[in-house]
Amino acid sequence: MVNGAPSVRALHLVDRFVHELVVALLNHGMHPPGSQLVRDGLRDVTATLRELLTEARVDGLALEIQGELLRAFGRDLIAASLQAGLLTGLCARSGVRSLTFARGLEPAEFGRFLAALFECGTPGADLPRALAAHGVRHVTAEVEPGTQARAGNTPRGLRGYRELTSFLHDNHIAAFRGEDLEVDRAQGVVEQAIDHIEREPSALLTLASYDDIDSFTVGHSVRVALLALHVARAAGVAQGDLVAIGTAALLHDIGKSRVPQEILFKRGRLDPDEWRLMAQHPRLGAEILLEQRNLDPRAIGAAFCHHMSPDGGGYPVPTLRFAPSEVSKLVRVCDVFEALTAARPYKRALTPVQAYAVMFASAHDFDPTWLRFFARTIGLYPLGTRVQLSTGAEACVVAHGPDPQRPVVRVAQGGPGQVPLAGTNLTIGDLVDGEPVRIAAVLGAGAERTEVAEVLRSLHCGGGTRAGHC
Amino acid sequence: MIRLDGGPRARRHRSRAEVERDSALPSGLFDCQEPMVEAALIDAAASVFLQKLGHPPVPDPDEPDVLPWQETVDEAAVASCLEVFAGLGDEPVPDLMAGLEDERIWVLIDLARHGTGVTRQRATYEVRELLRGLAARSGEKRALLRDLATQLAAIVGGGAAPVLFRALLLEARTALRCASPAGGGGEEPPW
Repeated sequence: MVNGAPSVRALHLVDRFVHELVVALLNHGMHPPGSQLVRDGLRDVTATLRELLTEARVDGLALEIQGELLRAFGRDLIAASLQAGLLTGLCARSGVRSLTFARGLEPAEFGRFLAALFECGTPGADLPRALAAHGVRHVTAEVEPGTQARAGNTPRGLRGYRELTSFLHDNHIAAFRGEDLEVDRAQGVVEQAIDHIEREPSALLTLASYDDIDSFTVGHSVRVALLALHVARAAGVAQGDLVAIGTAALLHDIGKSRVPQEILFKRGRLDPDEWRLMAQHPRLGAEILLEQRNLDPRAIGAAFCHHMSPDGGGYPVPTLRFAPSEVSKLVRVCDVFEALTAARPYKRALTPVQAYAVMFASAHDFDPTWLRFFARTIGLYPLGTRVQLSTGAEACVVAHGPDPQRPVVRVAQGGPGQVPLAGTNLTIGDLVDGEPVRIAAVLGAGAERTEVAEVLRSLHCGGGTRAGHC
Repeated sequence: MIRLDGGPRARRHRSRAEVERDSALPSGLFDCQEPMVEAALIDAAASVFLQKLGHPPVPDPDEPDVLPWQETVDEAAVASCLEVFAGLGDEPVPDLMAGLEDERIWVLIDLARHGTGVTRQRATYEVRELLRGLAARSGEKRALLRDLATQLAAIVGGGAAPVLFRALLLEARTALRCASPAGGGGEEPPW
């Protein structure tokens, strides 16, 4: 390792590597070893590792596991940690405190590493021995026998957020396999989310703003659920109904688990046949949910109706014409706002202001009352939005006041422009050094991949392998 | 027509605006990010054209090709958004619990028609049970029942309607009669 801090690109590649590792792990548990998805996943993760090691000019990547938090190059990997529950869980059970991935790791060997990791999913398992037994030479595990992995400086709400993503991961897999969903678990995770929102409204949404490298169904659904819960709370909905609404929003895209993955993760425009299959996901979702016992019926409606617009547009075209329920109308608004403001592998996010401009320009696509109430509640700068202040400091929106242009922000620790305000809360418009502080820019984390090759990949099936059935 | 002058960010904004304005995508495609793919494609194509013309795009030092990005707050966009916000007022929102039972019936009818295997049977059973339940709740849901009976009657009247629709029409008619005021005398069936 050369001296000095890793480049921004290297840090981005670490996030991508961990994400692809998690995807490969999920695929390993779901699909036959020789399947295209598994092979593509292994190829992607090892290619990213090579790129990362070259960029960082090191011979190996040491991934530290500190409780629920992953670290590399001495930094917390918050975005990667959000999706890495399965990985950290497996490591914790066998006392692994770090994994080192060395240059020369090839796809087949990476597959054997995953097999060894899965074998060691029981307490007291010996991962180093399993790695040796599987002939894995380019991954080494450092173990602290008999000790619990150290808890890292875990961000607030991380466990709650991961509970939500883990619930969705598991249920998407169950739906994919045609098994029963864990409906009873939904109530617990949604109640926990509501509790977080009540205690610290910005905590989960702040994490959600990091979660932009996911495979865009799980992270998307969690963010839609959080938005719906915020708006429903503001509308004065009672606790019991909040749980049902949160569950409905969380499961609204469950039908995508039955859309072929090569279509779901295709980068680029779908052809008419593919589109017909994709457009089935609301109906498939309603079918999946109808098969579940003890599920609140409003989840079925939200799954079916979240792409239907009030003027009869959208899909699916129902057998008989009808108007969606208020819950479904709200979920639709949250769904589109989230889709516009989230990063994707092939696009960066729109800022909330840009997203509102698009949505109000297409207002016939949404229930007008809910669109307006949503905008009023979520505001110009939604909770959790990361911004750059006119002082140069980075900050995160933590509360709203009566003036939508003057949210309360918490100034981030470290970095240029933060001193001496680091860690303090400011209301936009407050005087700092005699000048009213303002929001200069909205910050995000999502590459703008505008290279021709990348765009072409987005237009061809199989070009992208951001698999992971989620 | 996409203009090629300006920096990458300016071109991208123009491309995005062009695509959004010109897109003929149906509303259902709205959240599929197609306009963004198109914007990226146009941007890439513009770069290729510039290179072919011997004017390689000048790297923008403010815009690294990887994370993180930042989007300068566009004061005009904020002002325009605030104008919309100012007009919102404090209108009351509908009861979020409204319309759930109606929606369930409509969705079940769709699944009874288009669902597969056991789901179809279950949806058929549940919707018939719900309609029978409505028949017992005198005076409730007349608008729903009237709408349902009208749509079903139109389909059945057109001939070649599935047996399911005939059965549901019968249930809806019965429920509507029962749901009518004073035990069924007042409601004129919509068929």
